[in-house]
Amino acid sequence: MDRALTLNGVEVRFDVEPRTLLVDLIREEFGRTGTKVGCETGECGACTVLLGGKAVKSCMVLAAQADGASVTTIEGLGEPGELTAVQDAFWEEHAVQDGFTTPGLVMSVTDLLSRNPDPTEAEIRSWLDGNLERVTGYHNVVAAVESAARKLKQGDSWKIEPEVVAGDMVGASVRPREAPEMLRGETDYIADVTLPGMVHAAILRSPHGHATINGIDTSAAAAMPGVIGVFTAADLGFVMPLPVIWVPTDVESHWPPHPSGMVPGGQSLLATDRVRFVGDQVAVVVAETVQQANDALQAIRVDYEVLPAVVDAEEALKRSAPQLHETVPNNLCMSAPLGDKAAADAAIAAAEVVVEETIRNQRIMANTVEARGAIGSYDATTGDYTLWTNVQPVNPIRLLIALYVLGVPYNKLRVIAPAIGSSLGAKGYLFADGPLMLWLAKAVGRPVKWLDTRSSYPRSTPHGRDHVAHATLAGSRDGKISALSVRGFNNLGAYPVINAPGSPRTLIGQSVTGAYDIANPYYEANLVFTNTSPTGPVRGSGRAEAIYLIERMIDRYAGEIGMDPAEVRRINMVKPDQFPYDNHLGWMYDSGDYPGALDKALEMVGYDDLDARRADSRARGKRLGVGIGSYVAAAGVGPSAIMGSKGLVSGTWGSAYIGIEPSGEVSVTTGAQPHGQSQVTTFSQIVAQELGVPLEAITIKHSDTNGALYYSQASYGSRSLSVEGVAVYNACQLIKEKARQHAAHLFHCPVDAVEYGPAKVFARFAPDQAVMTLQQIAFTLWLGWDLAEGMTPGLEAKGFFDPPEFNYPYGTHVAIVEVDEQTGHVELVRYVAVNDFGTVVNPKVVDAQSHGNIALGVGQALYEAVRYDETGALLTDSYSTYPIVRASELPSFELLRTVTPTPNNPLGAKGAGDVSNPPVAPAVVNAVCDALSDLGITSLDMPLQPHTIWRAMSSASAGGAAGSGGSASAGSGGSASAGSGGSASAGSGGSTSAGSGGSASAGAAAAAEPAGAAS
Amino acid sequence: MIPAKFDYAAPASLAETVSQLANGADAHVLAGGQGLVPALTTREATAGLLVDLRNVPDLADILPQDSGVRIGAMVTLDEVAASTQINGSETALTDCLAAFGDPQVRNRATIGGALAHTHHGVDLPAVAVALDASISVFGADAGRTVAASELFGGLVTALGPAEVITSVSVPVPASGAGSAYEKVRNPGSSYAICGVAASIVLTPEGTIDSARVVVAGATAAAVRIPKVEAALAGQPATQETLAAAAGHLPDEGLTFPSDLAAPADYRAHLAEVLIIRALARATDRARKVSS
Repeated sequence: MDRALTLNGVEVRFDVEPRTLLVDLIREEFGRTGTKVGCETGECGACTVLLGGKAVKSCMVLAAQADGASVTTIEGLGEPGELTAVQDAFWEEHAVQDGFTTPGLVMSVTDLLSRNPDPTEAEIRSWLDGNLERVTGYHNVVAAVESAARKLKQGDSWKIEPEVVAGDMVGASVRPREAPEMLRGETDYIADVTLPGMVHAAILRSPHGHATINGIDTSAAAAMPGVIGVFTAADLGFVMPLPVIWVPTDVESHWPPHPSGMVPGGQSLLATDRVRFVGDQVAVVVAETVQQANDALQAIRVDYEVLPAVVDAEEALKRSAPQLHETVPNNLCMSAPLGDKAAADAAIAAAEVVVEETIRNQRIMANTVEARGAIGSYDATTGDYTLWTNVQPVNPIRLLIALYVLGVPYNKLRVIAPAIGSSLGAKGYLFADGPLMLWLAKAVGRPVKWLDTRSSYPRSTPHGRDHVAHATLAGSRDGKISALSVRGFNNLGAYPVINAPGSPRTLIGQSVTGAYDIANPYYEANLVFTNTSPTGPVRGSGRAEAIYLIERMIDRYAGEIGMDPAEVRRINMVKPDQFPYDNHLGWMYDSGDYPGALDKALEMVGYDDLDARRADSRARGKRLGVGIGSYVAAAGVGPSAIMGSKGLVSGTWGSAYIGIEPSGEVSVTTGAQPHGQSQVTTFSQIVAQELGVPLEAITIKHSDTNGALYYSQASYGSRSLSVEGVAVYNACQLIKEKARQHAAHLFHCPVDAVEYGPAKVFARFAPDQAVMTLQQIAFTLWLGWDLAEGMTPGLEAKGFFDPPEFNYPYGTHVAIVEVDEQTGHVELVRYVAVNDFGTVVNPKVVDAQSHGNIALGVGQALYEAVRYDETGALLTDSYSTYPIVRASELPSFELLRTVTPTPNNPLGAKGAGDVSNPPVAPAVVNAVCDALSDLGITSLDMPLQPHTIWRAMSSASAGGAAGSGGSASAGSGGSASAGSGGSASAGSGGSTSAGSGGSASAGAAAAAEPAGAAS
Repeated sequence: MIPAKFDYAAPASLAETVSQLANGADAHVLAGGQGLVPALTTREATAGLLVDLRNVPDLADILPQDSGVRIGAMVTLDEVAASTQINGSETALTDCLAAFGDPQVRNRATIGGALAHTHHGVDLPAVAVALDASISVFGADAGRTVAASELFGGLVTALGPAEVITSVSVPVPASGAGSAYEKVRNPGSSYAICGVAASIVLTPEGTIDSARVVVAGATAAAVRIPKVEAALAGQPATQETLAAAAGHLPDEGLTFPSDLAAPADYRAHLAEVLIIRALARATDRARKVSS
């Protein structure tokens, strides 16, 4: 039926199926792709448009319902190429990171300010509850709304050119260069990429946690309208499963096989005879439209024989547990020790005080608002494959796909990442869907696109954390820790992810001593397969598990000896005169003042003066609690040889190309892969600082394997600036050196007499006469008419950086919470963070990342958990069932940054992207435990849902106060984990030996009995 | 995620709407669509025919009445909240609207749709019952007006398959009356984990003349708690009496749902806490009106 609406002021007509959503009409029919799709079910707000002038989520409106209405999308705001006051405020306040959720936020805020020109912070945060944000922590968004409100009151006078930075570019909070196009909705993400002749794939996934496949009938699906082909494992021929490339070589390990014989195997592109988790890929439909592909998916008949499943790592180690892989006895991938166990045991035996606890870091997922997608194309004439996909490591996966999956020449595969709507680590892998699209593209002779959905996300994309640790901490009565011994269990899920199995011992194990000088640490990493989604790093990865563990144990120990937890930290922290400090587990801490950061954070919250606040809270029926999270987090992967010694088969050096064009502009290609970190801005700042050229003259290229670089290692684990940024810096030095050499030749003087000044070279003896601009040098080098002997033409350079060591950002965070005595609801009322990331290039960029880290950590502490039932059925596949923190649930964060440069790179920069996440969850949990401490509650398992706390409070008051040893189990809605150990162990009043707490640890240890695990 | 196929109609009259609903296979009313459209997208709900009310005249007005105010079914929650006829004083309704969904949802969700949406976490029915609102319904034969408590008391909304809510009338509070709504939201879905709407009428002497206490988030959309209401009548409106009355909640033998957000026993506990809080705020408001 013919309908019409007014789109951005222009009447447009449309005739679509009644089931077409308004968002799909806007994007697919009218090509306005600035409106994004995050969840399709009205939960995330990324698709917000104005309908009749009011913000609505365009996935919750049928296209037909908009008949006759006026619709404004992000493309309809303001004048073309310009920004509105709201957009400008977002830019100014650094409220844009990856930009995916930005158009929806801008539309929503535009409505708010049109009706309420002067909103309070509470009103802004409440309004923003309609827009989920995974990276900004909302902090700068709130600031942007306040700024926009001010601008709107000024008429047009806010429209001034952004101020030009005078002086040092490194250290200046210049506005992100990549933001304006994001704010206008012009940035293309994978969903926005369309190729000529493209067709669409939909993937059938296992609904069972564990089952054998007796047969698959695709005939009905193949006969459906628009279907080009339906494919199963039988069609794939010689395609291999995904490889694993991080395998510690000094311990025995067991894996699914890989036919190459060179590496262990992971998930198959399509399951052959068995599915091992809800989400395993079983079949794929290729059809002319997305609708047709999805409709045909429903017609595939799979004959499953359901098998018993196991979802818990320690359960999976029992002899009676279902076995996932024939080549992996007892589901144990490996048991890898680290440190001196005998020394740790001896120190524990000799200690005055021993604290035991089971620390559970629940399974979470990145659940980025942008899901994943991939487009494969194949050129039959040249034999060239191209993969467009929103993953971080474009070059690494190019190698892995070519070598280990498809078996095609490396130089016949190109991988391109379009803009990425944040990753939180979960877009950092090789996924089964990418090579599958390449194979399909060749099979059907057309480009094939697959886009994930929100409900499929937890089935298609690895989860994170799911770490259980039985920890023993020993020390003296006066607060000195002598040993920490930990038996950790990582739930790997059904298959190993490319790099995940190397991570637990290195990133968790090596990090468990945190910021403390502990003489006798020991860690045992047990990696276990279960019938759940594969797991891997999520923002803060490894270090987050370690810091959660040690920071909880510090508070438990402080409780046992009756000492202020801040004082325990102060006593045990590595002191400024101890650097470089060997933590006995493999890290070599570089620099810092850990106690100084602690004291600054405590001062900011008025730590010694909280009694009045506690009393005030009690008068309102609340319990106030304060919690500390101190951290050191290894960053800057990495020294290639060190990573190699840990079993990673990959160089991890950084690389950068810089060319000075004959016309004087600067073209940079970086090995970093931006997905919200603003490297286009910060790397431009490094170049501008070093070469003295304006930002506008610099372009930064990335995310395409057909670039100027031989290889690029991407961005992850807080390595961009301190590795790839340093490579840029090094390339700048090479450019300057070549410019000086060429100038010396032209000036007929020694090179030593030539200096590099801002965008010029000059001879020191005649700075105003013997001088050439950088452009003139580049031009004459390009001409090549007069070059010194051995001089190559052109002004270009490749810079590399393989750091001698990691770098170690650190800090202390403090959370203040109020717990409702009746409902158990936790409100975060203050959050203070003192961080030291060494030298910082763009302070606002770095602060914005800290905001994101804090919000993610608060979300993990209070809300997030991926849950399975005992059959392996997935219970959390939407934002409704997997809540992420909203704006109204957070206060404004209070940040302080100190600067202690690392000696390990010439910039002095330490990692910043994910390192400030690890202290957050422990700070919040410590705060809640503090609030409940007089009830005898010493431990609670995340997420701290209100009913968890209510149950703990009820049990504690029912069982009496300290000394009861009563355990309040945090039952989680009938999930498998309920009752399996951990939870609120009521304090046992000065226990001095193992087991006297009568709490979780004893039960959990008994439950483990790992068959065949090294002990 | 894409909805399964369905037909769509947007008739221009109530009679035609009802006729289409009666004759269409698996026909459903479509108002704002904020509950229905996502359910169709995930294919949790299916429909043969959607009958959209957007072209039906006279459903989008807020009109004063002798005894209160009548709100047309297609008035959005945002418009209700912005109406000076509604927001002149704080009531259970204004509390509920402020905490309903999020701004985008309130901009699009209609009051008729929010009353007809049979999800245990939708709390507007409880507020309608607490405020003794009446609901106008149009069906095959003609219109009828029923008390909210009649429509929402049962396990499912007592609305015929070919009936449409056309308006809701909210009475003017009596002198000395106050109401409030307390909600604990599901942090994921924003629906109520549990909600309690309470209205209270104080005598000039300050004792409780009558009260209504309605729980949302239990098995039915809106469950009155007569044992608590009875325990309040004639008592002084003190924190102690409110708490004592709330203590009668378990006597009703209500069953609460259990899900990832909250187990049943916690919801039952929460209901008791929220009853006290809602009654206390309703009492404060009643005193303000009388003073």
